[in-house]
Amino acid sequence: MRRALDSLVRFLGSFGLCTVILGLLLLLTYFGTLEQKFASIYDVQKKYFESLVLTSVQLSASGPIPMLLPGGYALLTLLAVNLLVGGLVRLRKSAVTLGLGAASVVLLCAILPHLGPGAMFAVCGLVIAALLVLTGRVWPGKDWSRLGVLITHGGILVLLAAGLVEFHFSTKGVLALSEQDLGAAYRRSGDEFEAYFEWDVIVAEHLEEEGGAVQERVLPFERFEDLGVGESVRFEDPGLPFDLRLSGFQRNCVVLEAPEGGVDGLALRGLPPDSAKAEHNAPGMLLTLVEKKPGGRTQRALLHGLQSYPWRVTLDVGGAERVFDLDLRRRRWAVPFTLQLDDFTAAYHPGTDRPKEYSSRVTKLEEGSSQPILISMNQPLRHKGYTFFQSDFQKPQLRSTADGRRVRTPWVSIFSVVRNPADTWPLTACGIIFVGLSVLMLRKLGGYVKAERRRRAT
Amino acid sequence: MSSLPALTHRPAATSCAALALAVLLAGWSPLAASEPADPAPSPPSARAYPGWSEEALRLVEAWPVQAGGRVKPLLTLAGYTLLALNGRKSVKVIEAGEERWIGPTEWLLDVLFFPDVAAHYRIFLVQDDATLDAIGFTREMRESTAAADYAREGGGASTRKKRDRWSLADLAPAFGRLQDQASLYFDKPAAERSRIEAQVITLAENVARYNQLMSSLGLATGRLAVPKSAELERVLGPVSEATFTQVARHLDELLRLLPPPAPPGQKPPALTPEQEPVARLLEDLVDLAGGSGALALLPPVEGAVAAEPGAWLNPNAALLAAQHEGQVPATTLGLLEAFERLGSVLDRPEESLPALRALSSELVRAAEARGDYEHVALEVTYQRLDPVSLSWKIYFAGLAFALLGLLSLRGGRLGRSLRPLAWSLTAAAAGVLVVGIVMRCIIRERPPVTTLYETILFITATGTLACFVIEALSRRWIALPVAGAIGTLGLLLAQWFEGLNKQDTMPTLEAVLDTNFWLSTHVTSITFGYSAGLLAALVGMVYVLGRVFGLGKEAHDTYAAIGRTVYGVICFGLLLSIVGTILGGIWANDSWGRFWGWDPKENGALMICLWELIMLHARMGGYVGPFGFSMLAVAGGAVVSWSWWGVNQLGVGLHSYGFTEGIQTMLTSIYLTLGGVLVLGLGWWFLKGPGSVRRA
Repeated sequence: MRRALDSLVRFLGSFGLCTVILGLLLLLTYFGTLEQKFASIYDVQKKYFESLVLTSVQLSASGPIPMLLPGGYALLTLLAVNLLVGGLVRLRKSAVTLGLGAASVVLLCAILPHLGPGAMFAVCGLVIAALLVLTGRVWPGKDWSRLGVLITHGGILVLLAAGLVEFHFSTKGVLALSEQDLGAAYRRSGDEFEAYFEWDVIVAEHLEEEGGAVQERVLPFERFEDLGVGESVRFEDPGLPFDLRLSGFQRNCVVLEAPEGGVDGLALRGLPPDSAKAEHNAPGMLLTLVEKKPGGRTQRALLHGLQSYPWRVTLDVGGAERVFDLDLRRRRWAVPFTLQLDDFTAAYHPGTDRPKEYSSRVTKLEEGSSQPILISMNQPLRHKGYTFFQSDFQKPQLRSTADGRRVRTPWVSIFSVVRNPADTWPLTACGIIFVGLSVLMLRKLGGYVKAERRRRAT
Repeated sequence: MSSLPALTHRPAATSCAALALAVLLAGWSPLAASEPADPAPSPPSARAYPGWSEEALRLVEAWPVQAGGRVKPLLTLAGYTLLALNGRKSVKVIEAGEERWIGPTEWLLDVLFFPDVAAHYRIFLVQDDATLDAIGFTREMRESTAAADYAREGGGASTRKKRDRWSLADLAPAFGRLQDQASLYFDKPAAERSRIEAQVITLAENVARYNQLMSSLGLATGRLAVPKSAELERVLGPVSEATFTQVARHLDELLRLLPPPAPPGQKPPALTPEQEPVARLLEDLVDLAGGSGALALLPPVEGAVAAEPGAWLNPNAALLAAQHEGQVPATTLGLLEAFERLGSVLDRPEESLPALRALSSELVRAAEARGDYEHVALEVTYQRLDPVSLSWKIYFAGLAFALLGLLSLRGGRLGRSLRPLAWSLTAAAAGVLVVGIVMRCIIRERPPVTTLYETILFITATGTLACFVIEALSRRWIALPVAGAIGTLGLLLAQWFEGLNKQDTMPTLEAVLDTNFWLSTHVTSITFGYSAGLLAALVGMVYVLGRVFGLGKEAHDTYAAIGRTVYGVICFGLLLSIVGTILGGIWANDSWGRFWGWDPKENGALMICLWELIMLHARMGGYVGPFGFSMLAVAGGAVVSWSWWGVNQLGVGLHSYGFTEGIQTMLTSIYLTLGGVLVLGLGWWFLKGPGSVRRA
């Protein structure tokens, strides 16, 4: 038993396993890059890098070929295990190295997140110098070659952890603000952002007794995103006088007229997912509503991501009328402050259509205070764990309003919004890896120069 | 490329000057010969062609001109225009049987001021004469054209090759078909066009570009016929002919003589017999102003409306702006008059040189006043020095002597005496290259690497410098020839890429790249990483080929040192690649909102890191020895090449710099070379027996 455990530990921490994992990652990255010619980066990312296993790869226009490969999630997890086990196996014997290495990693983790990139390099340089002096002067003669390796692997672990936290706990979306308010579609200020990819089914009830308030229940995207043809999912809520059944989910589809069959003369026609940008996909589904009361009716309707108004259902429940709006819309997240767009600028290099700079002057409104802020390319706004990036814009254009007037739409500035608890971890990891590899390489270089000098002397 | 520029479009006759000015927006061709209905060559110029003195060329090459969003010397613009049309930055001219090469500035001056002389310069490179068949310029027509050129030039070649150069006058009879066919092919999706169809489009674009260029300073030598009219006589005086500025100066008065322009979509108002001569004169004025794509030699006037901020003007744009302003600004008129003064004395060198001096100093002063001339003079020096082509020649000489010097590995005296020479040549070549890179940094006010072209220069320079360090440390005479090889190959690649791309190598940058911090940290370290990976591949090749061909069989010590060098270079390469890749992620996190997006270029960088990690772990695990490690380094060269060039060919992702035809061929030959070395190495390994290789 002991021997079996020993050999398992040795295998998990072996250079051989490491080489194989890295090789598979390399292959996965290569295939995952080539497939981007045929599928959107969102789909490729899901298939290759966020999966446990994949069964086919597409390398040419002739279609996918079957191939069994471990997915990125599985490989990175295995890599973390290999790294931890391998490190522990090899470092059992040198406690001082382990201590010094771990102390350096912890120290850097504590200091680096609070520094700007410039100061970061200075601190890293100081730590490198300190480690070289410490191990050359204070404890000379000892084999320190593992110190750099240890610190480097600590940095890689931080990087892997950053990836894990981002994958599981970050939210990403978009906020579009216009220079002037114009109808419901153009708003100058906003305090929530919309998902790129996640669509939820919302059941909104209008509460008469509470002065027009709306109570929302959410059927989250994760419950139905992987529904196949003919599969359905039920949504039951004790507070609702009906159950919902959701079926015929299409990731990307259009609504067509269907005089025969269909629902209310309409049907959904599925389209292949957008191969360039997954955020352009517009999903749709069939929703079946079954009243709970005995002898209650069954109603059906199609929901489509781009429909401009929800499906309104009015039910008689115990003599009282209850009104529900059912809608399929992009997921929304609230932000604990409000941003207001004051001015958007798109500058071009003179005489060309090559963009030189995009920037937005915004005001951050929070608890009665306001603060002017400039967001531009490479200069995002970071506040309370949220980050706002200048990502796109819309030029003014002439649009017809509902009453037939022609109006010029305002400039619209589009921000990517990210909430990622591990936002600054990669920078820390970068610093740690830089320190570790530098210590390792400088030690090796020193040894090499010494050996060459000795050779020439003899 | 959103639309195909018109090749042969003359302003339509309009009855309203305002509309006539609007015609400026369309293309324009001053060449009567380019009219499909009238393929006769333009009449020879009445003016004698005096040629250009050295001083005149020096003055003109430093004229500031705005193109591609930045102000640059005319020399740069002329050089890249010529490269695009002619495939090289010089023109071969044959006069009375004598061959003569002229540079870009002289060529451009001839195009601007002596268009009928320049029309006979053979500067349109046609890669395949099937292109000419496609536009109806048949073999018989080509043969008679070639014979006529031969008779006129009194020498040169009497026939033309499949790939050859043609002059504007040669191609003139085919312009109508060229325009038609190009429009036809242009409507096809780019991926569906055949090679010949793409070449027809390129030829049409080149001819249109030439015509726009040629129209730039037509006003310097052209004159406007003033129709007989009491109204015009009152404004302009009793003249039958006027210069561009004489008329443009009275633009507001002339426009007032005409009825106000009709609102869009309505018929223009009819002109009275008194108004017609005015409208005709204004049409001619527009005609003489040149095309909308003409050289932007006129600095913008502060406070003028209708001008894009910071955008320089050509006469066409100046007239368009004047339509809103009421008149052409006085400073612009002053510059245009200086051009006219020069144009009036061109055939008298003793007078033209002072006029040119005055004009040049006015142009420079106007640019300096705007702060637009800061680096123009330095850029002229850069272009004249041409450090890239100078440097590769020296590298090549250094390589030759270093290879000869290898003879001294066995104690040859000749080889040993060549060493200092090889060292100095290679160091001098690197010095020239570094000076060139520094000049580029100063001119652009940017860190050394911002474009694909600059990665080549940087990788070459850092690769050689790394070799110097290795050679200084090891003194084994291996790294110096490698340095020469890197320098020669790298800079030849740079020149080849410049010729392929045919564009200014100092372009303005996209918004996201406008950050010197990230350019200097991320881009520089990634590029260092490429450089180290390629250097390791080259040194690895030396190891593998040396073993395979049994060179220096007894020199175990030397092979051990080469093996250590490959290892050391990979270690430093890994440090730079990993740090560079993570920094790239951090930059992406600041500009696009995600640290890692599995974008092709990011993946390429990751693959380099992964490959080098595999190498190091395989070595530590004892799976490979120095030979295997060198083999892996050679294979790593393919990973780096794919990451550096290959991912761009995919045409997807945020870092896509556009597919460039020809690069795939280069990549394939690199893969084949590396593959060949690997096959040789593997074959030798099998023949020798793995055990004996490791013991060695």
